[in-house]
Amino acid sequence: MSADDRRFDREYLGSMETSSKIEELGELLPQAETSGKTKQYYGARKPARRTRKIKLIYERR
Amino acid sequence: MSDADPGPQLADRISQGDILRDVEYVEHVTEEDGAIVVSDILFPLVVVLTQDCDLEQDAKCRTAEPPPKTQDKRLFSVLVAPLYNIEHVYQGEHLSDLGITGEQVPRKGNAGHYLLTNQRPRFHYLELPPETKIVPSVVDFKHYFSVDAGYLRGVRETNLVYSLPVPYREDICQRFASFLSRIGLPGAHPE
Repeated sequence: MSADDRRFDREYLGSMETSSKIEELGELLPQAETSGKTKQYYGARKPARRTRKIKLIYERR
Repeated sequence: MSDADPGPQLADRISQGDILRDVEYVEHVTEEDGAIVVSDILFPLVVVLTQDCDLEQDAKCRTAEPPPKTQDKRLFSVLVAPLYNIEHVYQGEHLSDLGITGEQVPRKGNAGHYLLTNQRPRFHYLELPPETKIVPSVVDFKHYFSVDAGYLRGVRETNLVYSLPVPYREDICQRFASFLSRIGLPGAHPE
C-alpha cells in the first residue's frame, strides 16, 4: 500500500460518520407495539433488530 | 433521600440505576459488495449496572480542569441490561421481534409469584412511579451487554427516562452481581 493509499484510507475512513456521501439504503424495521392501554407507555415495544446498509462512495481527489 | 444527597436523578453523568430508552446494541458490522452492513438491536429500555463509583471516576476524569495526569479511570464501556414488559414476559413473547420464543411464565401460581417477588435470580421485577410511564417490567440479567461509554453519554442527554434511587439501585446491582457469580453445578440446570 502506497503512502497515498494509506492517506486516502485514513481520510476516507475518518470522514465516514459525517460524510454526506453516505447513502442510507436500509429502512428501520417497524417496531412492534402492543395494543391496548400499555401502548402509550415506555416498555410497550419489544427489542427489534435493525439492519442498515451503508453504501460507500469513493471519491478520488 | 436527604437534601444532601441529590440522588442519581440530578446527576449530570451516567449513573448506576439510570433507565434509558432506545439504546442500540451493535451485533456486527460486515462488508458486502462494497457496502457496510450494520446490524444492531434497538432495546426500548435498559438499566445501567456498572458500579457508580466507576462511573463517577470516569466522569471526573473526563471533565476535570486541569485535566488529570493519568486517564486510566476512563471507561471503555458501560454494562446495561434490558427491561422487558412483564406482560410480554408472561407470554414468552418479549423477544418475538427477534425471532426468539421465551419460556411462558404462568401469571398465577408459584412461577408468577417468584417472578414478582424477585425470587428468580435471573430476573428483577420493577414497578416504577406512574409519572415515568414505564409499564411494570422485568430486567433479565442474562441479557446484559456493554455499550460504548461515549455513545451512552450522548444517548443519556435525550433518552434518560428515570434513575433508580437508593436503595433500589443497590438492590438490583447486588442481585446482578450475585447472578453473575453463580456457580453452575454438574447436573443442575441453572437459568
